[in-house]
Amino acid sequence: MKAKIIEILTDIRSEFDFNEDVNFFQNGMLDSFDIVTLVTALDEEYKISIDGKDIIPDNFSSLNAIESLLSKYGAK
Amino acid sequence: MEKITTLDFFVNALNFVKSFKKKSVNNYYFNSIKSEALINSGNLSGITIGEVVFVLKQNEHFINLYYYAADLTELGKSLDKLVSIYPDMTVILDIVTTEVDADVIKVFEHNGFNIYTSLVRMSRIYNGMSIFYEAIDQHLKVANQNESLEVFNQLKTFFDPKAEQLPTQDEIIEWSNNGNILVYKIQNQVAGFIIYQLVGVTLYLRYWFVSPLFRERKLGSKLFNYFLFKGKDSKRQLFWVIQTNENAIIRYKHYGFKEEKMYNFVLINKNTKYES
Repeated sequence: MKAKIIEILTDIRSEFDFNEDVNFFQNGMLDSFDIVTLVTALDEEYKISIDGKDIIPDNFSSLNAIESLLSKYGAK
Repeated sequence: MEKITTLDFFVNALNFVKSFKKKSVNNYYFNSIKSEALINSGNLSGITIGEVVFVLKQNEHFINLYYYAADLTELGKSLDKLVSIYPDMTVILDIVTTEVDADVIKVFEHNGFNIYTSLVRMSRIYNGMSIFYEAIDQHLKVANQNESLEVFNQLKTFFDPKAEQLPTQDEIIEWSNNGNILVYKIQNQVAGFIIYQLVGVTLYLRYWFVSPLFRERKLGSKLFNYFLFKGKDSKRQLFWVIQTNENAIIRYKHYGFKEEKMYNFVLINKNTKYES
């Protein structure tokens, strides 16, 4: 799943290396507005619907965080 | 209406709308630092109507509205009631979306709101090919505290607080302390300024302005190049621009910026439009 997430993130922000083990927000690679695009892409890719309550930076701050969120929605 | 005094309010609001197990929506992108500052300002109040929690931020002449709703249908119903409770107040809200015709905007339009203005995000990837130069113009400098307060006054005078979220004085002081305010001084006056922030590898242009008295002298370009120099270590540079400001968009494109599919619609419950 991580490879696919990296692909989606790279589609949104091709200039960054999302393999890096950093906090995407603190490192300036994503901001709260990028979450809007990311949520749309994840919804489409995994045929899920991420609830508004989960659309907070903590859930998108790293590959592990995104993977964990997707698992909660049953994405594979 | 209840005054919001702790961050728990937002967590409770999320849990409340979640409890209805519908497709919840909100326009408040939770950030603890920003939220704490808003709470400390003492101007935040909350009200629950039906399955929606509204957050209202009182400004001098209008209210900023945020919402947590169980779903769009409930948002529409509760909004109708909110508007009837407070018929005279001017309400502004921001909706950030990747679509130009998002359903949530229609919900507000059905309840008497109009699009006041819209902004588009523009960005540029720094590929190492641009030429940056150190500012050699003696009029260009990083603002000190007094100059920063002059910048603050110009923001209040020349910017529309409904269309562009203006900083508080505390934010200005913080930016000033961090060296994030660049000014162009002529005859001891701030003739123009840029406010920027560097977050990790991303450079944000917050405000860029040249006083009407000093236009047509390429001050804006000098400030902009100084800003680019300050952010020479960034990989991405971005900002929001009002979509009707075509001249500015052309100018930004000249610098290599491109429009993204990211829009910020500013809605108002009055029949009025932003005037540039």
